[in-house]
Amino acid sequence: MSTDLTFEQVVRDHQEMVFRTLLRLTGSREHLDDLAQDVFLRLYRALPSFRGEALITTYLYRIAVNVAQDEWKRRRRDRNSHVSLSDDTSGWEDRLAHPDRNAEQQMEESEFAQSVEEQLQCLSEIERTILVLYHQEERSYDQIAYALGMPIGTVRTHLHRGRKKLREGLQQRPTHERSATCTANR
Amino acid sequence: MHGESLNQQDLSPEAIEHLDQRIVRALEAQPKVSVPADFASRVARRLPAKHPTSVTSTHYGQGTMLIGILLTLAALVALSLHPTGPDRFGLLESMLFAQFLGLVVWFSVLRHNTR
Repeated sequence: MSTDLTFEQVVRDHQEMVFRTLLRLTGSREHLDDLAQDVFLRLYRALPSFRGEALITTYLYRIAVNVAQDEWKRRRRDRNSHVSLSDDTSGWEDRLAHPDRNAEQQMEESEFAQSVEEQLQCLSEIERTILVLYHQEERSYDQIAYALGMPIGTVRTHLHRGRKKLREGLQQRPTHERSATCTANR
Repeated sequence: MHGESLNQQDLSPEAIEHLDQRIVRALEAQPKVSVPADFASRVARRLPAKHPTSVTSTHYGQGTMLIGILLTLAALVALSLHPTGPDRFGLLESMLFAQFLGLVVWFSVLRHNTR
């Protein structure tokens, strides 16, 4: 019982990070709760083989990425691979507070953030994952390399390529356009 | 910038840098998530039940080691009694080879079972 209580504390400590990462990797709040539960259950099952060579957080990122990959595969199977973030259940970027800016700037930034989000979903899975882990989660190259099981050089290459595609995608589309058309090359 | 097209092929380096900074800012903004209050307890309830671990100790390793030692000793004694026997080193070599092979098989099975 004490182990369960301890694990419950581990869940409490990391649940927000897992939800946040999964939300951006999958681009949807749909099934987010189930996916997050899956992450922690996989962690629990993997704990006996966890040798502590990495932080549990880094280990969790690895599992979260695996769960997100499974979700992408499931969506591909369902022929529902593209999910717009402009639905009613998302739009988290609209709620970001910018107390030092006026309303027009806030709206402008909000629309830009949404465009970035849409273009992010157009990148390849690996590029999106690396961009999210590096920028949003502020993970180091080492940690990303461990989480994804790839060399650091490859992580750098994907990061650079992902940012370039993101910029090109944003350059090729008007900011007022709300459709989630992918303009970035895969 | 609102409603303005970014579809410009001749963006200056400053404009590209500005765009990159905006992209990074957008990426660094963490999405707000609302984790259900009972999420952790729900996960804890779904944890698989632990299987009772076996406390009965086995002595397969010791037994095998003892048999190996006895076989080797018996072979050495037999060879010392018949020093002129045919290919005694070959026989000893075969015995050691068989013992090492047994160890390899044993460790392989053990590794497979503990996965």
